Amino acid sequence: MKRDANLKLFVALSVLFVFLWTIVPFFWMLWASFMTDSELSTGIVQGIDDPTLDHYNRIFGHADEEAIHGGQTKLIGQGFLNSLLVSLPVAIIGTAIATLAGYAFGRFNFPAKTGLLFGLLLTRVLPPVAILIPYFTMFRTVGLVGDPGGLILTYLTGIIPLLSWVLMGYFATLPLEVERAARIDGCSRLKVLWYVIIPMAAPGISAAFIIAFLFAWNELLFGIILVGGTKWQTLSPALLAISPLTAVGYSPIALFSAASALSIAPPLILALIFQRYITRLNIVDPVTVRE
Amino acid sequence: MATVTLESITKTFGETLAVDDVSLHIEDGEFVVLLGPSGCGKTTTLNMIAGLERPTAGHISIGGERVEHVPPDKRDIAMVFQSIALYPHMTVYQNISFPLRMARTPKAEIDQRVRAAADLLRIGELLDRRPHQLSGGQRQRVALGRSVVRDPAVFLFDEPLSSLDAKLRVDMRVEVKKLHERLGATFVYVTHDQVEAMTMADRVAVMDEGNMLQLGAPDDIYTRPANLMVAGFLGNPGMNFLSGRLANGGSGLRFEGSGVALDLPAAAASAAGSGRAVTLGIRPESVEVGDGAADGATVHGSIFATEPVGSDLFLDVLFGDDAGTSDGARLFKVRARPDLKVRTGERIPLCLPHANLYLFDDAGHRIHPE
Amino acid sequence: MTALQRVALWRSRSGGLTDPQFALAIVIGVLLFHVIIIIVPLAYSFWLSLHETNVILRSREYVGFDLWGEALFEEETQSATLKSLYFAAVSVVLSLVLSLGMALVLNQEFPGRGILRALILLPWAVSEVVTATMWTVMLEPSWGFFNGALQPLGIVGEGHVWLNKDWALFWLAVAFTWHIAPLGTFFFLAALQTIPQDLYNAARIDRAGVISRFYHVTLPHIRYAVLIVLVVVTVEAFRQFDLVFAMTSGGPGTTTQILPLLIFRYNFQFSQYGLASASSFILIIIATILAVAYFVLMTRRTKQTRVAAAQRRAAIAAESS
Ligand SMILES: Nc1ncnc2c1ncn2[C@@H]1O[C@H](COP(=O)(O)OP(=O)(O)OP(=O)(O)O)[C@@H](O)[C@H]1O
Ligand SMILES: [Mg+2]
Repeated sequence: MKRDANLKLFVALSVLFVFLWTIVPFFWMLWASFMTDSELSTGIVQGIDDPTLDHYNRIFGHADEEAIHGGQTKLIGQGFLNSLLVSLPVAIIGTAIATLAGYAFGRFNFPAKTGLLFGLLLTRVLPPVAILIPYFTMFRTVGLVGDPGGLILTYLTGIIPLLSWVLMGYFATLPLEVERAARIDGCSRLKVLWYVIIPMAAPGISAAFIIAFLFAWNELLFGIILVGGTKWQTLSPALLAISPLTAVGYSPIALFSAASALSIAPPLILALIFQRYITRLNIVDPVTVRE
Repeated sequence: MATVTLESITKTFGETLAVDDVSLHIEDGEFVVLLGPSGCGKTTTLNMIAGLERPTAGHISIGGERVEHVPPDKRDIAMVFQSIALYPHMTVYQNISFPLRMARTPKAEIDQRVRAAADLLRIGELLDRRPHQLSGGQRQRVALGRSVVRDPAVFLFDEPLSSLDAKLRVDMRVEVKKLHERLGATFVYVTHDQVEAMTMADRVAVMDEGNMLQLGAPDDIYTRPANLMVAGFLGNPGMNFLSGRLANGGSGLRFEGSGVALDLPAAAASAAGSGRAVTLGIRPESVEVGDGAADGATVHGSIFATEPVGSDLFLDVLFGDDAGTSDGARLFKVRARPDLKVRTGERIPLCLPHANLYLFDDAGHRIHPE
Repeated sequence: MTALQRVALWRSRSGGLTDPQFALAIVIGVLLFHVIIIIVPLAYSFWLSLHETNVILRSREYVGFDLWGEALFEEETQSATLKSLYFAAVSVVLSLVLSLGMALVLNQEFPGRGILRALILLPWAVSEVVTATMWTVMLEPSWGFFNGALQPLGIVGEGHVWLNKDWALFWLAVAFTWHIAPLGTFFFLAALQTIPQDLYNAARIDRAGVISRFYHVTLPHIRYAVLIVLVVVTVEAFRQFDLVFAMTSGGPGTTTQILPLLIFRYNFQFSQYGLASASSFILIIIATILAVAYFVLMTRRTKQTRVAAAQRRAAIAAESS
């Protein structure tokens, strides 16, 4: 029984560790965002005498000292909107295409299936920097630099393999006979997909949608290269523009923290929704599930 | 309404030969049951009729038209699946109306037909529920409703009752049978339950390992099984078998097996000659305890075990002297009156009536009665 | 058959594709899209890697595989490659241990488990740029959280520089692990949930301790998940650009200049497109070799481990009955 008690204590400590490990960085970033610059420079581990919303106000464009910061903070709001306008199409189109591909891979056997699947997944291995210049050059010739279309296309290629893989595992677990019943009941294959598979796979498809959205929302590198500094600049490059490390001119970390804190609102909400679906995904064993 | 014809259809999955050269002609409005043990290719055959699988070789016609290349949604068939396979995200009403919606039937007509089907199957109360809120029997009715509502030419059933408990199964059996009488459509029904097959079918096709062993009326395949496998598969408990040899005895042909020898009816002589290796078969319910009957062979055996089941008493009888070993080949099942008083180990006389004896040659084909 | 009849037949059959044909049609469609959008740029990149570009003279000269040689043997690229390997290795080890540990914890029964399961996903949901912000707040020498919390305890000295030239890359890997490990945790959780509770009970009846239960019951069931986590973390670590760029930009000096950052500099600071492309291929080749190796390992090992797991399950069931 003593061993049981020890085990309980060990579990409790581990739970505490997991909780702190996850939450501490969030906490201190938020903490910093409510401090004035001078207060923060004396150390973050202290009570805040007079919590300030200055940084947040500034981001929403209410501050008069914009000129000092090169007007960069305004770009955060714009970046928010731009990221939304890029991420939504990526999530919608990406999920749609990956639904088709995932269904094909998850439900059917066909010649060269493993090879094709591997080929698709291998494109995920490609480091983004490796295709930066070609993309940039290609998009410039067709006028897609500085245009959200180019960015959307780029993100789609980045995310579709992963989504297909996730969905493939999900589709493979759906009951085959229900699909067959729909065929008998007068559905063509595509109608089966629309009326039966997609509704049944709604949790998996929602998860895929969220993954795609987060990917597009968070991505930095292509954002810099394709739309950085333009009116279509997305959130990550906009954030980086006011980062103390890379910003032009003086940029306080407290402001940066506030902007970062704002930027994570949509991902956090989505992650909390996603959490309910992810345990139902069969990500772990999609390749062999239909052996 | 339509006939269904299978011409030499074969289906292989990689190395597995699931269906091997099966031919079958089903008349319009006929109720045919495909019966066979698990894995014998029943579902595969049904799926090929449905268009869910394509035959590797052979032809399928429905209503006289070749359909190998017609997708399932264009075949005018309905199917009820082993797993019932209702659409989990739809209500009962939506489930039943789904085939009609896919066929773009006018709304008013859909409503009228769904309600008619629901009334027929007594599920009118359940139309707003979802599948997970239904009992097994109710789900089964909904699945039936979904197929009935279309009024198709051919109904396919894949062990639809196997997931129900015994009592419900008996009830549903009657309902499916009544449904067939009312609709007059062609029914193809797959099962491994011989009682279902015997009670419902106009004709039964017995399958094993991808082959069709025999096709005939239930009564016919029961009383005149074409071979050992059909004989053994039908009946519960199954037919008793003894292997041995034919010999010329005093009054005619004799059968000599290990621990037992008996005279055969005169009619058997025409079927086989002396010296031939054969298997003798008789059903448990045909064996009589005692040596009374005039036209039959009497043998003696000792009781190895008794199994009272209420309405009957089943005896396991062992032939030969060394009654200690229970060599399955010499163990006989006998159905006796429930009030028979016997003890384990007791030696009893059994009468095997000549009229109910079967002989099979060493390839398993029936040679007597012809 | 007349041509018209054939067309009619073909039309009537177009809904009658066999299942493999249907699936193949979709997959080829999707792959075609991918091939165009990936292979073409890759080919272009390859062409670039064979040419020396001079931006000022606006000239381009064919140099064969010279730039590949330069990328392979130049000290700068070699050192960046080693840093990438180090970064990936540390990330993989840390992520594997941490994500499995978190999954085991979250697989226990305790009050608030649902909430914690939801919470731990958050680091994965935020971007690398924000991850960089948070870890900067943690590690900043003059006012950051680590020093603020540890100095009073005397564990570190005044103004300890965490991102110094020996340890900066390590702390980047820690930050990256914080960001990526939750994903692994969920892979592991999914695998852990497939283990029947009966197995643990059986093992318990057989008086197996915690360790041997983990070894004989848990491990065989999560082997596949381990491989998946390995692949995902390795691939993501080799691709990683955003986090390092946002947190240190390769500094101090060039101590955290991993290969993707160097390639970025070749491209945008020095306009050495050829060298950048050649170096990219080194990165691609390393990542591909690792991915293929894992994949082969995965498809080969699963069958064996499944059989082994089934056998073990049977053995335990037999023993406990
Ligand atoms: N998709 C498939 N791939 C490979 N083999 C298959 C497939 N479907 C069926 N088989 C094999 O074909 C044989 C016949 O299967 P089938 O499902 O027709 O049997 P069944 O008679 O319906 O059995 P049960 O009564 O268990 O449902 C079996 O050996 C089975 O393993
Ligand atoms: Mg079956």
